[in-house]
Amino acid sequence: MRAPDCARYAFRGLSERKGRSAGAAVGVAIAVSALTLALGLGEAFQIAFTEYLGRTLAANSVIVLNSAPGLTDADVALFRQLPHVKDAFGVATAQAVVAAAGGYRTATVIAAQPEYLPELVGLASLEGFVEEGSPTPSGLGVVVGTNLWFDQNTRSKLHEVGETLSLQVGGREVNVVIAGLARQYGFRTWMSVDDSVFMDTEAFFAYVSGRRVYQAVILLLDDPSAAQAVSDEVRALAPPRSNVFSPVAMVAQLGVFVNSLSAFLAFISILSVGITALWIFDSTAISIVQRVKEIGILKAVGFSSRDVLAIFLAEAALVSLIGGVAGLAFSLASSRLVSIPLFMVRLTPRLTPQILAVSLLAPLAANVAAAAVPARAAARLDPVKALRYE
Amino acid sequence: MPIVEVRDVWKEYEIGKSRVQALKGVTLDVEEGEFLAVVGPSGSGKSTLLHVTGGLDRPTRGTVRVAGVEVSSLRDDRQLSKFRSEYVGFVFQMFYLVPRLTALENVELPLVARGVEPAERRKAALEALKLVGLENRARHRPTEMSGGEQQRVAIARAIVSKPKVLLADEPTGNLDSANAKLVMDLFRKLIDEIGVTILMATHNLELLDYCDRAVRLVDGRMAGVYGKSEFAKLLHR
Repeated sequence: MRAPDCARYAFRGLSERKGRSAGAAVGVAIAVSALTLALGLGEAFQIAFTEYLGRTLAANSVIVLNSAPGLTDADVALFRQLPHVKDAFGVATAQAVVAAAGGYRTATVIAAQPEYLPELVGLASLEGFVEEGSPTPSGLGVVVGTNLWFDQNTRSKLHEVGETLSLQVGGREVNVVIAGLARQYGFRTWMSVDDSVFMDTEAFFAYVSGRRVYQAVILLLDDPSAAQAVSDEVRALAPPRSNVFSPVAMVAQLGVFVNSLSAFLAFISILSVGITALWIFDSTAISIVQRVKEIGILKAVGFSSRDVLAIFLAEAALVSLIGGVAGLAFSLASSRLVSIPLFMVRLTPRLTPQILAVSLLAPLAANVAAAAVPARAAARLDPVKALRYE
Repeated sequence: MPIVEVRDVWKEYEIGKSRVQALKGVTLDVEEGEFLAVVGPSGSGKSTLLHVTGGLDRPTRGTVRVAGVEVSSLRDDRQLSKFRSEYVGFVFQMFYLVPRLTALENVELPLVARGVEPAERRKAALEALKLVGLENRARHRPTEMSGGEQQRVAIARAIVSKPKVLLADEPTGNLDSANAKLVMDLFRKLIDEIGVTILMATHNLELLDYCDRAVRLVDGRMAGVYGKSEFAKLLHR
């Protein structure tokens, strides 16, 4: 039998049982939609997650935190000598209270040498760092984060460039001048850029902190794959109570979580595909019982067992294709409506060609395999017994 | 050389735990273009003889040869289905048409099984329908046709691939006498026009007038062979 004739005969068989065929196709469409959207969401989640981590955690760095007693310039110099460390810089921080809309709010005063500010905030350069004014703190001129100069509720500015800002730090009042208003950035590594005041290092040590120590040292590596080895070395050299961590290791650990989540979504999808396959199995088995005599006729006029098997498998494949294409169309249309807020981004399913192909072909293969069980029994039917079947 | 040679054919069935012998050493020759009736009471093995001759069933013992092909030695399903689509055509009492297909599509089925191109098989199917006088009913479904018409469609299907032998199992059993006569006339026409050989199982002895020869089966054994001049013996048994 020619393949087009097999497909045509199968289609005629399906069209005779419109209700059951349509039901099976709808079942396949639901399974394909579930599979597509689950895989698409998993893919989107993975990409958004990786992007977010890449944006918020500098992948090529090792971070040493020590709030007390703190890290010195000598520590920074020592860390710079380590293999794979191309540079290192200290970051001094202090908690402060500043006047904000309707009262006060806490802020973190952060001091790092201006040339390291791009690394600290996760930018290639300071160009574009600020909305207004200068991006570089100098003397008592500071750059303030969005939450400190802009009221999100009233959408109005609280401060202007050139204004004096009063910082309450450890019972002392330090008046600084606003040199620049930073754009919104969210979190970066271990700090909120939007809630920070960026200050010149020398001014920080002169007016905010009496001790010349850093609460963090950031080591920039020439090879992200060396992060673990550098972390181990830094742990051995750093002062007591230091906390050393590598964003790369964090990404790897969190990646396990992302993969687990994707595996769970895939499991749910496989379940739905399995249920559809059972449906097809049932539908094919019922169809065969109803068409035993027809199978006998086909064999009597010269159809081989293989032809009979092919006809029933083609019916399952056709239902899967029709349902699958409908399911993909629904997924493509609805993917624009599905939007899940996550990590300050909105997650929409990413339906790549690979995902679409897998979503169509996996249920197709499962359904044809499920139909093969009763179809093989149909193919093996004795033509004489089939013709006498009542 | 006979077109059908049946040599010492035995056929044993298992029904539950008991064994039933449907054919017990049947030997028979049928000449090309002959119209042979196989008569006998119900359960005498008439249908089984047709089934083993047409490759629908395998004999337990003995050999069956049709147009030089030893059917009884064909074991592979593909060989058997090829034999059925090329060498024989079946006509059954219950017509056995596929209800969702039109008359034309039903007639095309043996050619579909053989992988014949659509245009070629359509032409052959229309010719076969014309031969049985139903070319104007080609687009009708079986449910839209009378019993006699359905049986003629079944006959057209049986001859569409120009088989050597037509095996008819009680072909008039479901028809009134007028339609039965039409079918028998058609069989004679097919023998005359396309030279087909017909083996017809029947217990309607009135149909013998159309046949050249008759064999009688009783309990799976050959109980007699009758030439045209001897049919009266059968009628008065």
